[in-house]
Amino acid sequence: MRIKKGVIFLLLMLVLLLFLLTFNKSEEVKVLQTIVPKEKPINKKKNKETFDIDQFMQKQKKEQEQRKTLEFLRDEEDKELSYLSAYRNYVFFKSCEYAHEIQKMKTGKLSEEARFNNFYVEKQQVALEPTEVQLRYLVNHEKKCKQLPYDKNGFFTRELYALERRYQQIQPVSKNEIELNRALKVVTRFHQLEIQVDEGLKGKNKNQQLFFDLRKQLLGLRKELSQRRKLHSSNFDSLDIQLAGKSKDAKINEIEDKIRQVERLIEENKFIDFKVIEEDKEQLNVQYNLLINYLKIVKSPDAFLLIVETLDGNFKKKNSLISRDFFKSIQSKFQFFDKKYFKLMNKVTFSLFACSLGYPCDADSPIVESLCLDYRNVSSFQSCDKNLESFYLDYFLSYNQIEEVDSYFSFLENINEL
Amino acid sequence: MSYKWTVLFLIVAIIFLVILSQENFTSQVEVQHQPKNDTVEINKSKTKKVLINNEKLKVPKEQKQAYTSSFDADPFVNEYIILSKYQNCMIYFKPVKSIFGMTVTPNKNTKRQQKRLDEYYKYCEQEKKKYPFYFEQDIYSFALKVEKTKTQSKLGQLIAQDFVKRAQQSYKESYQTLKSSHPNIMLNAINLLGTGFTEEVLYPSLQEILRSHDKKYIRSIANYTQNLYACSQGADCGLNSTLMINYCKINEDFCVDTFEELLETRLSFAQQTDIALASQYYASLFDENKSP
Repeated sequence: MRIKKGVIFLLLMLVLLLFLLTFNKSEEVKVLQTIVPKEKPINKKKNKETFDIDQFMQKQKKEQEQRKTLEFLRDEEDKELSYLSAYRNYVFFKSCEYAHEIQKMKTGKLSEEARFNNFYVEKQQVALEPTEVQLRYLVNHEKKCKQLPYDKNGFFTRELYALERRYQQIQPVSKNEIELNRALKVVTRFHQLEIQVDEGLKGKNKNQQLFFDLRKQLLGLRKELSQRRKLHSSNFDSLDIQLAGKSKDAKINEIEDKIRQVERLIEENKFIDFKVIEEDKEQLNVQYNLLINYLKIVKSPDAFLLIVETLDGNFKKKNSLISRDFFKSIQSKFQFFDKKYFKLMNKVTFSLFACSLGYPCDADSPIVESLCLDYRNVSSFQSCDKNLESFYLDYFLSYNQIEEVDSYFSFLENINEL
Repeated sequence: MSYKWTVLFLIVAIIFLVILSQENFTSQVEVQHQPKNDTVEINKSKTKKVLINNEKLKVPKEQKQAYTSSFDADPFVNEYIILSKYQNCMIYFKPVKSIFGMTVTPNKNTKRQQKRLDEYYKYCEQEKKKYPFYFEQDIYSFALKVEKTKTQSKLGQLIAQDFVKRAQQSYKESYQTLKSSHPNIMLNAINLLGTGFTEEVLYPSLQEILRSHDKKYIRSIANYTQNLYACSQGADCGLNSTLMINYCKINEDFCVDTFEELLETRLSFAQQTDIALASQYYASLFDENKSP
């Protein structure tokens, strides 16, 4: 009787064990089934469809006609559009990339918070909830963006280019427009020379084919190295540090040596024409001085902003070849050696100076709109429904900063005396 | 009879439960000894693995002695101060080539920055002769080691929370702990007091004092003021201090000899005046009778 009980007990245990094992397996299968979706049957009918050339031609003709009508309408519209308005449309549209994407993807379903948080590509660590006013501004912004594009089916950059072409085709009439037009020419030439010098410093390849071969080799080696390192690094919690010097993995050392060798060969294949660079550098300095001189006499707010932004952009460049005395003198005069602070002072003073020259700075202006929607700065949402001056002077800046902005402003006013 | 069966069934159920729990446990933590490279691999889960190099964590006895009581009685606080004091030397002696399998590209310094750093590295060499054991590990391994060091002191617990980025709620109690600590600790006081302190105390007070609502500006003024206060209390703010080397690394115009010189010659009039205003507030913050 005792043996029988023992047998029954063992059998019971076995049954339970089997049950648990099968239960676990069926769970695993369920999990796997949810992870790997079932293959969808391929619709072979589509592939069998024949290409109808007549239908295709008809479609093309129709699209061409539509485009012609649209171009005619635009030409009519452009006749009434001033150079300045077209230019400002172009500048405004630069901030429309996100709104444009929304329109293209037809994702009106996105929540307002998500749209707001995506307004700027660069994200802040702390996600902030937009206020009601900010959401109102966002809706208006998107509406304005949707009104602008030339070709609603085009890419953002193509549309931006079209808007650039649009103002370039209009004749500047007023004094401000002529000033802006001149400033744009100098700035464009300045940027061209900057690119020319940068490219020149990178050097040209003596043998183009050799360069392509070496580049391909280098990319392959870098990929291999990254894979090898990932394979070697099993974890993230320990940071997987590799110190300078030789790695423990011989294969990694071998790949690194090869990379260095290929990089050296690429460098040896390069030819830098220092004579041409020197000439371009001289030209660049000439254009830089031209910009400074023009800044001293300019009365157009758009031209003013364009020039100071160009100069500021060049000042931030790490390896600029020009002397950049203009900003260096401002830096020394006001002790603006804290880069972030200098950036802030430039932003505030330049925009307030532009306002004083007649640039739109009221609550509906694009400049306030961009501040109001700038969620990277937690304090700037207070600019919504305010004009720029009252936002900066009554809210944003400290008493001492206002004094400093005032001094900088006076400096800009008297810049022609320098 | 039925009682016996119930007991048997219960025993069987318990055995299964134990087996099951062990299975779960081993799937979470599998310890595999790897004698070849003297490493211990711990599988926390199927996706996360932790690899601890035993060699890196080994600290010889005489070194352990040297770590203790030079800056603070608490070994954790002491190591934290060493880490903050010598972080740039540690990077110099053991430059990190890659983290997470990704190559670390060193910053391109300007001539002025490089000149200053070269002078600083000479100082590092001298320090290494005095305290070779500080520089045997790279900075990340050292930081991981500090994180794992146990602490009993109030200050240690305050710093430990900074390591895991937890908001510090009891900031009012922390003022005095910080005040009585090594002055170098004060250089990081705002962070140690936590986000609660920054949002509830620091920003509202400085907004009122400076009459500004620009949080980025307030934060920068608060940081300069904190450093000024720590320097006045005896923190390392001279030529070879971490503070000045870090400023120089970020901005070549900040490559000056002392923090005082930086304030006087590199910051604008408005910044200087606002720092002076904030300093009065900062001093009262650490005053027993006046703290909010």
